[in-house]
Amino acid sequence: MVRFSGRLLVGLGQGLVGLVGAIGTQAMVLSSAIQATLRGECDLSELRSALVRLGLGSIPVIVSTAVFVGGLMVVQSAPLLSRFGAESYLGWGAGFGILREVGPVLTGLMISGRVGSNNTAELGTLTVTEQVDGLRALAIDPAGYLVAPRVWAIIVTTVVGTVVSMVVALLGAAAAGLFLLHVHPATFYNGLTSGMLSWMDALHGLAKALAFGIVIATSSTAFGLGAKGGPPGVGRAVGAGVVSTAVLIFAMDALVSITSRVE
Amino acid sequence: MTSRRSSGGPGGTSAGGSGSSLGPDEPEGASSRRSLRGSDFALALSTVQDGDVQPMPGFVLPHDESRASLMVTVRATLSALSHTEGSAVVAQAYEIGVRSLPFLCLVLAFVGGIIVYQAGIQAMRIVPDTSGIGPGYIELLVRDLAANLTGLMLATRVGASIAAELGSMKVTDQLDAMRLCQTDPVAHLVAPRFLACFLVTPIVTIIAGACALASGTAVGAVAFDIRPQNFLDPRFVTVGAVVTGMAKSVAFGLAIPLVSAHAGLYTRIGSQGVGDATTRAVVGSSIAVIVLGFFIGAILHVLLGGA
Amino acid sequence: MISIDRVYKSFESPVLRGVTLNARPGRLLGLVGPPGAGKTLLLRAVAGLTEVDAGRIKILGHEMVQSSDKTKRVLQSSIGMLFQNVALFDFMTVGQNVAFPLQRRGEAPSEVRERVRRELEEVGLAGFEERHPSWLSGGQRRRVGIARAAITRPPILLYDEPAAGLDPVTTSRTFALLQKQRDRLGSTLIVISSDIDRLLPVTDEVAVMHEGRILAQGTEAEVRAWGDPVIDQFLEGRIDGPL
Repeated sequence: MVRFSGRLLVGLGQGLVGLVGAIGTQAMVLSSAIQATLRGECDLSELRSALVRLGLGSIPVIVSTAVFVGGLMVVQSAPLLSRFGAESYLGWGAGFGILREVGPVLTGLMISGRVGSNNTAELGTLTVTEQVDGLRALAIDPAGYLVAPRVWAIIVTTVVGTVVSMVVALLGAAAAGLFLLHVHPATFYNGLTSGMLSWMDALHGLAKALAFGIVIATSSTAFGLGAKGGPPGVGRAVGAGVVSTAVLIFAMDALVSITSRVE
Repeated sequence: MTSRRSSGGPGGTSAGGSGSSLGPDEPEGASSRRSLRGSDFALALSTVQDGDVQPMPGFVLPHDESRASLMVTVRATLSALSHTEGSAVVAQAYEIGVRSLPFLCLVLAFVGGIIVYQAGIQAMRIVPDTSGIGPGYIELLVRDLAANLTGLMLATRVGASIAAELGSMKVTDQLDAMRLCQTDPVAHLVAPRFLACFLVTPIVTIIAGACALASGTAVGAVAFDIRPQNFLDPRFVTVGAVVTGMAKSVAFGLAIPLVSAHAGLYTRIGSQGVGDATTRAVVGSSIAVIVLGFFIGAILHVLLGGA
Repeated sequence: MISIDRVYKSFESPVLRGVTLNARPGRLLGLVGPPGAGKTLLLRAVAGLTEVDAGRIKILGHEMVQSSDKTKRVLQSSIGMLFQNVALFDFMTVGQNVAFPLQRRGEAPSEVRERVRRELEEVGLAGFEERHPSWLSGGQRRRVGIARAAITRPPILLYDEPAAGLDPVTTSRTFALLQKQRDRLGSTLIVISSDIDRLLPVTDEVAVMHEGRILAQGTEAEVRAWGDPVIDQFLEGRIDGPL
C-alpha cells in the first residue's frame, strides 16, 4: 500500500513535470506561429486546405455529439428537477450548463479527439518520414508552411465549432426535455431567456472555446512534430497528445472559471 | 559451431552424429514430406475443432475491408472469450487500470471542484442556501458524472493505446505472423483487453469518483464555508442512481475496447495508418460513451421514474 | 509441392495477372524481379494470408484458394514464413518469439526450450534467448525470423528478402543456411531476394517475375538463355533497356 502510493506520487510528480514541459513547448509553437504570420509567411493555400479538412470535416462529429450532449444534460438533471417539481427551470439549467461548461469542454474534447489527433497524426507522419527536414532543406520554413496554417485553422474550428455545438446542444436539450420531462419548448425557451442567463454566460463559454482552441492547436502540433520511431511512434504521439490535451483543457477550464469570478 | 557448418553439406545425412539439430522425431529423407497424404490431411482436419476456428477479422484484407464491420469484430471477440488466458487479462488489467488511475483521479478531482464551485456561485445568486449543494452533487456524481467523465477519459487514453498497439502490430505484419502460427490475434490480443477493460472500468470509476467527492468537499468548505459533515449527505442518492451509474460504467467498459480494437485491426498500411487508427479509436469511443450515456440514462430514467 | 495456376489479384489496379509457377519438392526456388512485380503478394497468397481473385494454388496437393478456414489452418501448419519486415513480436523476447510456433502446438516446455536453443545456435545467435528484438540489428532480427519460421520443421518455407540490408558475409551465411534447410529437412523453399548475384548460385530453379506475370522459370542457365530483353537487363543490372 505504501509502495503503491509512493509510485502513485512519483507518477503524479512525473506527470506534473511533463505537463510543465509540454506547456513550454506549446508556448513556443504558438509564438513561432505568430511570428511566422507577422512575417507574412503563413501559407494561404495550406490555411484554406486545413480549414476545409480539419474544420468542415469535424462538423458531422460536432453536431452529432452536441445533440446527445444536450440530451445528456437533460437526463442528468431530470431526477433533480422532478424531485423539486422544477421542470420549468430546465431551460435555465440546460442553458447554464451548456453555455458555460459542458458545451465548451465537451466540444473541446471532441475536437481534440477528432481534429487534434488528426493533426498530430499528419505532422507525426511528416516528421518520422523526415519530410519536415526535407522542407527545411528546401529553405521552406516549417513554421510558416506547416505550423501557422494549422494552428489558426484549429483555433477557428474550435471557436466556430463550439458555437455550433452550443446551439445544437440546446436544441437537443429542448427535444429531450419535451420527450422525457414533458417540458414544452416554449417553457424551455422562457427558462433560457428569462434573465437569469445573460450574454455574459455565452461569452464565458466562448472565452473558454478560444483557450481550448489554442491548447488543442499547440499541443497537437507539438506532439506531432516530436514523434519518433516510425508508424508506432506516430501512434504513440497521438495517444500521448490526446491525453495531455485533455488534461490541459480541464486545467484551462478551471483557470477561466475561477478568474471570471470577477463578474 | 564451425564444425557443424562444415559437416552440413549437400545431401548430408546426419548419421555421422554431428548434426544434432535434428531430434529423434525427424525422419531423415524427405519423401514423407512431399505430399500431405490424403489420410494425414483428413486426420488433421478432423482434429481441428470447429470451435477453434473463428473468423479472424484482423486478416480481412484491403479489398475485403468493405465487408469489415464492427459486428464482425464484436462477434469474433465474444466467441474468443472462452479460450482467453487469464494471465493475459490480468496483465492488461494492470496496464489499463493502474496506468490510467493518476490521470483519471486528476481530471475528476478538477471537474468535481469546478462543478461544486459553479453550483455554489449560482446558488448564491438565486437563493443563498448552500445546503442542497452537497447532496445534489453526490447524487449527480453517483448517477452520472463519475461514469460519464471516467468513460470519456478512458475512451481517450485506453482507446488510443489499444488502437496504437494493435495498429502497429498490423502494419508490421505481426498479426499475420501470428495467424501463420495458428494463433488467432483476436483471442490472443483483443479478448484479454476486452475483458480487462470490462472488469477495470467500474473499479476505476469508483476510485476516481471518490477523488471527485474529496475535491468537491474541499471546494465546498474553502469557497463556501460548507462544513464537510453537511456536504457529505447522501440523502438524495437512490438505488436507481447507483444502478444507472454502474450500468453506464459497465457499458463503457464494453464499448471502448471493442471500438478501439476494431480501429486497430483495420489500420491502413502506410506511415499515417497507425495515427489515423488511433484517431478513429478516440473519436469512435468518445461518441460511443456519449451516446450510450444518454440512452442508458434516458431509459433508466423512464423505467425507474426518476424517484 | 506448390503449384500456382493462373492467379489473378487486383487491388485498385491489377497486381497479379495470371501467375503460373511450380515449386518442386525439396528444391530451392528463387523468385526475383523488379520492384512492384508482385512477389511479396504472391508469397502471401501462397501462405493463405491474402485471398486471390482467380486461379488455383495447390499446397501439398490441396487447394488453398477459397478454402475453408479449417483447411487453411491445416495447410498453414505446414508452412513457415519470413516476412519482409520480419514481423517479430515486439512484446516478447527473442526466445519467446522463436518458441511461439512450438508452444501453439502444445509441446512440452522443456522440449520447447531445448529446440529453441538449438535453432538459435543454427542461425548463429546462440544465447540470445533473453534479448529483446528492438535491441538487435537488422541482420540479427532476420536470423531470429528465420529461426522462428523453421523451428516447426515445416515442409514449406517461404522467405521474403532474408538478406535485405545485410553485409556480404552475413548474406552468404544466410543463403548457406537456407541451403542447409533444404538439404537437412528436405523442405521446399521459395526465396525472394534482390541480391541476385548471391541468390542465384544457391537456387535449384529461378523464376523471374515482372508486372504480375512470370516471365521465365528454370535453372539459372536456362533463364539466362531465355532471350527476353527484360530478363537480360534485370539479371545483368544494366541501366538501359526496357525496364
